[in-house]
Amino acid sequence: MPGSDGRERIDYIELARELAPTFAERAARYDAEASFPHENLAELIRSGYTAMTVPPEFGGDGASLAELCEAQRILAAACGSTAFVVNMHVHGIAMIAKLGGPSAEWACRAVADGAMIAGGFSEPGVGGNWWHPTTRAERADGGYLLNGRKGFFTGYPGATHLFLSAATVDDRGLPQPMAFLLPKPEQNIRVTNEWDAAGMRATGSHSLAIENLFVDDRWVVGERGTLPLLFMTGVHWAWCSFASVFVGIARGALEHVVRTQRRRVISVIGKPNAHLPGVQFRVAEMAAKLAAAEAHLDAAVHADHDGSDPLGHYIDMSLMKVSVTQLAQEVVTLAMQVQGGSSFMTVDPLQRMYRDVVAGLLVSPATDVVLEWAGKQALDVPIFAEPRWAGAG
Amino acid sequence: MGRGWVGEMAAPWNRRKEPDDMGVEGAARWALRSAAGDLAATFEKRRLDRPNNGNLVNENMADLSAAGIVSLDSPDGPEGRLAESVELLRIVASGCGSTAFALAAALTNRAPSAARQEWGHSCDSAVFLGLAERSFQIAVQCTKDRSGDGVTGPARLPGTQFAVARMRADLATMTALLTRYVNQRAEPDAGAVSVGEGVEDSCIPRYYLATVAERVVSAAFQLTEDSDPQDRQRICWIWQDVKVGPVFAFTNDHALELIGKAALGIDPNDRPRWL
Repeated sequence: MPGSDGRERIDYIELARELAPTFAERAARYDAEASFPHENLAELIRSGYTAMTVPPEFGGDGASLAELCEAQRILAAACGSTAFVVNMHVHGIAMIAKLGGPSAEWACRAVADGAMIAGGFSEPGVGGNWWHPTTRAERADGGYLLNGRKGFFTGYPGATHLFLSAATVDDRGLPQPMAFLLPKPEQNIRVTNEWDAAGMRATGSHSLAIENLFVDDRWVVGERGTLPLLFMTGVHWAWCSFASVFVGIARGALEHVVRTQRRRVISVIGKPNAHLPGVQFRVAEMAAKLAAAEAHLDAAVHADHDGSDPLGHYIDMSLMKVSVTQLAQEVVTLAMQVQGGSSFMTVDPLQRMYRDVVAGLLVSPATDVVLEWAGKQALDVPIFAEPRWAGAG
Repeated sequence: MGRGWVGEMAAPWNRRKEPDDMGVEGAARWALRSAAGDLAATFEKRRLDRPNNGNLVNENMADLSAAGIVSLDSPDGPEGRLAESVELLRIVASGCGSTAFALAAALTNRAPSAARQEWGHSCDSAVFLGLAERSFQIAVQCTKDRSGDGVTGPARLPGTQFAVARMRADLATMTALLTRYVNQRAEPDAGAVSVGEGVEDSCIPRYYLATVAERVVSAAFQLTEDSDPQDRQRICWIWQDVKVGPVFAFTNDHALELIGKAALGIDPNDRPRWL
């Protein structure tokens, strides 16, 4: 259907289906080289995929969360790394757009014109507690001076803009987390460690040092100190998008295993392996766990996101991400067992999926914090009370 | 995906408040759920008062029949009736699993003949979910009761909090899966993972919920270790119901065989059954 500018609206799910086969072909090379998927990213930008969540008033199609998640699942089944890089961008711009105001408008228009955002909220020593950034933002004339370190800065090599957190201090000396979205600087920020990891090897999730980086006031996103609340109210975009990547990998693993086991014949039985009860039972477990993961994710996608309880919303979404990524990892582990020793060989994409899907257990939100908060909430224990646990006082 | 027949994520005990502006059909539905909730409380008390009475299920079924639950109908046709059956079974299971499984069998017997096995799987799944939900509720309440001072009780221990959170996550996944498959019957393009025809697909929630319900109830049992013996007894009954409750025997192995064969494109009617 044509939009207000006369342009035909893009079907992002169909677009993902079109792009996926080529991405799947390239995935092994990117993984082996730990190189960044620049070609994939260029195609995603050129095709308009990266602008999917830009609202129509700023030149995008305003894709729904459901559409984003389904498209991302398809990309992830082909190349987990590429989907994960794009995940940080598409959900990031959706959350910024939700804030409204001048920063949302310029960011959205930039993305509609091909800008690519990488997000940096993880830091060494923070342990997944993203709302406590140790990167310092000191007030300077017309802006802030940033100093600190960032880890897991996914998508950095392909980014034109950086979305990152830092903390200033209020009049009482208490930290106030802030968010900044700025054009990628050429100075005062450097890569301290190139990404070289067991899984998600093509995400370019480098470690960075930020040294006396001046950030103009106009790059501030939202009000000072409101970052946690802003994130909690828009968290469905983040955690559903994260989860969809790992569900997509699990879906890809199931499809791959079914294809292989229907085709592969071993001489002892003279029939495809699919006739073996052990294969059937494990594939059944995979299908059941995948169905459970997809159902939980979709329930979260369609949940009420505008309620009056931001913390409860944050916990529900976080618990979903924890459950779904756990199930996805179990699906791929079963896939390895079904496939047997050949799945361990580098020519089989399963070994890559196996390494990639583990990242779902490690990325934010931190599982132990989610379980702590969800447990406390169910038990009517104040979530932020100190000491945190009995016997800790 | 449209929001279909069963869209509520809240557990039954949180659904007793009469919603505003629900119309005549909604009011009738709410009244029936409310009656089911009252009866569930009665059933639980009956079992505690008369633990060795073998006729309790018959007595409970008579009450359900008198309340119009056994002969449930829906203006939305068979699919609406299945959706409502699932909701009522979750509620009844919170009082007595054996009764809920008997009700599941009765409601399944009224299903369109071509869909009877699928209905049976959905109805049994609803009972597994209701039992798991009830065990969670009892475990959380017991933990709160034993944490009266709010400082040193078990609710303030990390292990307890983690266990409760994992149960909560499991319940959310189970609810979503069952909801998805019941909706899928009404809206076949709703996007649930599909391995084959209706029967094979309906095995997915049946297998998953039966398996995970046991895990949730097991965790509830652990959490009530130092609780009132009566509360612990309630968890024991729930555990027993999860293991031996379904009236129509259908093993997890049978479910896995059907799901696996369907996913791999093998006709489950082929003989010999195995190599």
